[in-house]
Amino acid sequence: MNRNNNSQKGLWAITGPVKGYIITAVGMAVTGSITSVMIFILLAASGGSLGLYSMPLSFQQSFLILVLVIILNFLINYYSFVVSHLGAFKLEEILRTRLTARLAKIPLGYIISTGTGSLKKVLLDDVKNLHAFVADSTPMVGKSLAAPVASFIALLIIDYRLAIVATGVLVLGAGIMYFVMKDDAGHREKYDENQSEVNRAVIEFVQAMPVVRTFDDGTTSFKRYYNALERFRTFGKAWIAATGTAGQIALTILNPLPTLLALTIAGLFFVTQGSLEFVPFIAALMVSTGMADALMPLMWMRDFLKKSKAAAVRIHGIMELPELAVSQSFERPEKFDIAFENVSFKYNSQDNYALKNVSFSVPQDTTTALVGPSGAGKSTVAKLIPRFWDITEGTIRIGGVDIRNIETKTLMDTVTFVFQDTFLFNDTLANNIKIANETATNEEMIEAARAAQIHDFIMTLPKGYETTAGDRGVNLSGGQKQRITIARAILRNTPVIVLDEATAFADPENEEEIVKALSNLLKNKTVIVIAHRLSTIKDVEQIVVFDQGEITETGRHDELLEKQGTYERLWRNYEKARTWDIHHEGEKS
Amino acid sequence: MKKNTFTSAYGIYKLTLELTGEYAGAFKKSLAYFAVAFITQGLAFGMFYPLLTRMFADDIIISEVLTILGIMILLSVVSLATKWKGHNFDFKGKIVDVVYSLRTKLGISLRKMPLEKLSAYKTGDLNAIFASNVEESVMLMGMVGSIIAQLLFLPTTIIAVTFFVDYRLALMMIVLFPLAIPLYYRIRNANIDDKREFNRANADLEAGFIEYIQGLPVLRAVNKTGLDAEKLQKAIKHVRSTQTQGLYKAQAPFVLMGIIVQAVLLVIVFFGSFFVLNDTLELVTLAACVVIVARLAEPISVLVNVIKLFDLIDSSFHRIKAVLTDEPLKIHDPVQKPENYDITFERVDFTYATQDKRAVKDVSFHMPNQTMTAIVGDSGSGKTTLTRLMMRYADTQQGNITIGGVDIRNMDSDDLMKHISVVFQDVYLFDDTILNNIKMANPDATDEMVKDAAQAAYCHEFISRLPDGYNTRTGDIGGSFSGGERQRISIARAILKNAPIVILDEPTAALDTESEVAVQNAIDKLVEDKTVIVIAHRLSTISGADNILVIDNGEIVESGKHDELIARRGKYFNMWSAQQRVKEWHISA
Repeated sequence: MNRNNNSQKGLWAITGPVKGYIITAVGMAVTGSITSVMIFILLAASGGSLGLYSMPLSFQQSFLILVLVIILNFLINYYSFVVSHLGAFKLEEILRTRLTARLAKIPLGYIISTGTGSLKKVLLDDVKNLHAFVADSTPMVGKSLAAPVASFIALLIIDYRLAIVATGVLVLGAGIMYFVMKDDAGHREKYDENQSEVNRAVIEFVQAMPVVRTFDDGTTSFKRYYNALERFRTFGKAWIAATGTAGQIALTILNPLPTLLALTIAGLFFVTQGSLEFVPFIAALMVSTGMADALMPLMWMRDFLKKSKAAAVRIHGIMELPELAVSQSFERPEKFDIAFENVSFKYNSQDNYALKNVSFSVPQDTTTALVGPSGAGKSTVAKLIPRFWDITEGTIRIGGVDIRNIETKTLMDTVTFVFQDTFLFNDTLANNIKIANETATNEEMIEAARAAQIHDFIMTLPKGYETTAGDRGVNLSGGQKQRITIARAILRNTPVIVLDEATAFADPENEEEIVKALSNLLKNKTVIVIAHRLSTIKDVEQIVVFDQGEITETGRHDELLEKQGTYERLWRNYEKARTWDIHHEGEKS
Repeated sequence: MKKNTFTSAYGIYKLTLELTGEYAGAFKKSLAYFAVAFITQGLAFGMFYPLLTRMFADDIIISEVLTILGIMILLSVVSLATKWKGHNFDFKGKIVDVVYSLRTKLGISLRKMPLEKLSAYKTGDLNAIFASNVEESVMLMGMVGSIIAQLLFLPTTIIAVTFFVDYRLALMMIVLFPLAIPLYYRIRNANIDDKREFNRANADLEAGFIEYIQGLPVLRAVNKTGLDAEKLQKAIKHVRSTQTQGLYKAQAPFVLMGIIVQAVLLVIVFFGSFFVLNDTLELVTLAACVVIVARLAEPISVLVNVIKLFDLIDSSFHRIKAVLTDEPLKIHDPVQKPENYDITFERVDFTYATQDKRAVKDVSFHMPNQTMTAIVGDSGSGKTTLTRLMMRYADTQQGNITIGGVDIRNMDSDDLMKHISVVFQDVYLFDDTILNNIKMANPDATDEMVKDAAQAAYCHEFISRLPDGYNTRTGDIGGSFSGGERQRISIARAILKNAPIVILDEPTAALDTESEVAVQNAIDKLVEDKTVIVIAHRLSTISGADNILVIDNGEIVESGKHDELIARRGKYFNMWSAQQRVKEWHISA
């Protein structure tokens, strides 16, 4: 109920910027309906002037007016659509501009956890949906509401008795329609539920197909799919059984025949009585078209409106996300040691703390490794430093300054999160590296590429640094892309580097080059590394061991081994995993 | 116009009959009802000619008028009743059956579709076909049937009736209505042209959004977000400007179509007035004609909106049909079963349907029963393609693949799959209990057997610790399974299946070391007494293999045991040495 209310408001609030267009388009659609009714009356009038009936206008006059009104009708309808479409185009632009600006201000963590796909869907499809709402629905609604009213008024003027007859039929139809829709609402929700259940089954069936092929002779997964279909069928039948007849009645009543018959019978009665003349009768027969028929599109549009509402809600969802808190007075860190002070953190959607009371410090120009089983909180720690999320309790300081008091731009110039951004822009390789530092010279850029072990490869490309990366450019392997992003990071030259080692070696190719590139990047920096290959961190100044969101141990490799704690266990496992070769004793021949 | 709608409508009609399958009869029947409904409706309208003439004759013969009115009412009743009957197709649940049967057929098709074809579909596309395309097109079937019938039979009947009354009026209609044909074409073409240009702009925008969202971490760092993301803003504006460009052109025919009836009326009244003035036409007849033709305004304006629906249904049907008509790979005669499980590739060439380059070139090798063969090489060199070909992902262009001496093309596809278990890097778990997830590999297995398999796969312990044990639904805690736990469940599945051939495609690549050890143990259990094919990046894993195939660019460049390959100092040796060096790398500040 409440939510429904919200979404109603949502649709209006969101189309606010183009309200002028909408009102104009609806206004024109209403005028269009009125001219349509006038056309029918003029048709009858010009016919009447041919006969012996006393008409205020001659045939020539009324015909001329008729032609003009038809042209007017065309122009009004035309511009009504043009205006509503222009409004829709403008709305698309406004919403997209606002949304993209918004995305730049909300926590990056939200963007990463929501995923490119869903965000893109909002920016592209949901906005498109609102376009359709503004462009097509608003004139249609205007028309559907205005046509019956205009027709009714015209009928009233022509002959109030016929107006009553036509209205009677309409009220009957509308009443039944109301009945249908009311009865529908509850079913509708259930229908949607069933619908999404079927969709889930479909997605599962499609996605699991490779697994299904190898592991299933068709009984299990197919049965699940069938069962979902079967339930949908049973429900669908029940739904139709409950509402189908009412729908059929509505379709029958909203047919032109009942109105026409009722008018004809009434007209015949009045004519024989002598109280109705030829011209008004003909006019009434034509005008009545606008009454019942106009309601049909309203029935069609309900689904459509619902979609638009859902889209509006999702767009609002992004618009209303809290921005990262911005401090009033910014400070600029002079030094680059990092300190976590009693930091606790939980993700918005969860009850459990992902980090509990975490404190440690990283002296400037040293390396600290974060280790622990998966889910222990080590990547969360890393993501908090560049403020992908804001912490729940405690403080994180860089050079003694609370990171919430550092301007975003400054923070970004201080910390680089390597491999969170292996993304290459659809631009030249040179620009892809240079984006890190626009003032860099070509020499500096090439120097960075060299240090990242990617220069030689780039030179083998026909267009060298001018090669376009991405969709329309050269296909780079994962390892090559990574090295380009390392070059970017080298050129950025921020004093603090956060490195996720797992993603660093996600692509097993050219490991050796990546290792060299990383070594160059990490020189003389304050480094925090999320480590998986424990051998790589044997020599680092500090290892912080996490388990279930808490720090369990800190120290150097050797110290931690002696403690015989979590780290020692991890290390033993690591050694074992590293030396595994598949133990295969099959051969009998 | 009728003819034209007819051609595209006919196509849809044919497709509809095809897709409704066993319900085609019911659909035809409903169309027949609609035909009768609209013919009788036209006839009822036609009764206005005699009715109005009699009503406004100088002396009314009441009995005659009442007779005509009676016939009119009778025709109307027949029309409404048949229309009601026609709508039984959608309002009495047949449509639900059609949806059910269509989805079932789609499911069967998907099960048998060659895997290459299957992977050519994007998951989203298949989801759309199974879910929304079926839904949209079938649910509209009844509505569309009635609209098509209306467009075909109502105007035709009216013109035919008019012909008997006054051939000149009928001729005017015959001449004028077809004028809509070029309009109709312009609407469609404008639609298509605009769409092309618009689709391009939209595709650019989509790419722009993806780039923006994925690039946000970098873009934020360099302050190129929101309005400063110039490229994206340009794409947003470009969409608006292409839309605006097409707008004026595209809307005109739509609106013109909407007033075509008014134009026809205008012409009829204009010429009709001459006929009336020179006494060759009665005014009442002209009036009746105008009243009747005015009735066509509504169906034709509906058509304008329906054209879009036609396109939607048309493309939905075609997509559905494409899936339904995809031929499964042919099983060659005679159908054979293998006796043992050695695998032989004989001079195999394979090119993917979407590529020009051969992915596998002249590959021959032999894997004796119950041995382990490793395939190594750079990413993209063709390793996975080889394992796919064993499962008859697609047929080879040259050469043949045999299992136990039987060409895999002579094996029933279910039978072939029965012999092979695959452990993928990504694990798919169904939203079902853990028990069922494992059991799907062998529906006849007892719960004991499932537990044994789980024990062998080292997952019994953590499953038992769950509150509901084996009856825990994966969906409820899906997120809280670690990658290793999911992988072990999938290995339990493979162990339960107990297929003689096991394919391991980098099963531990995505795991952290903690879970890796357990998964490794599970794999050791799985491969006992099996013919094993393993793709591994880390060469130490497979150093014990009976045979190692080194693939480069789709060709086998070396093969042999680890020691032999090391001694040869070729590609394998280089890969091995590079990995040894990287192993020693560690971060040092």
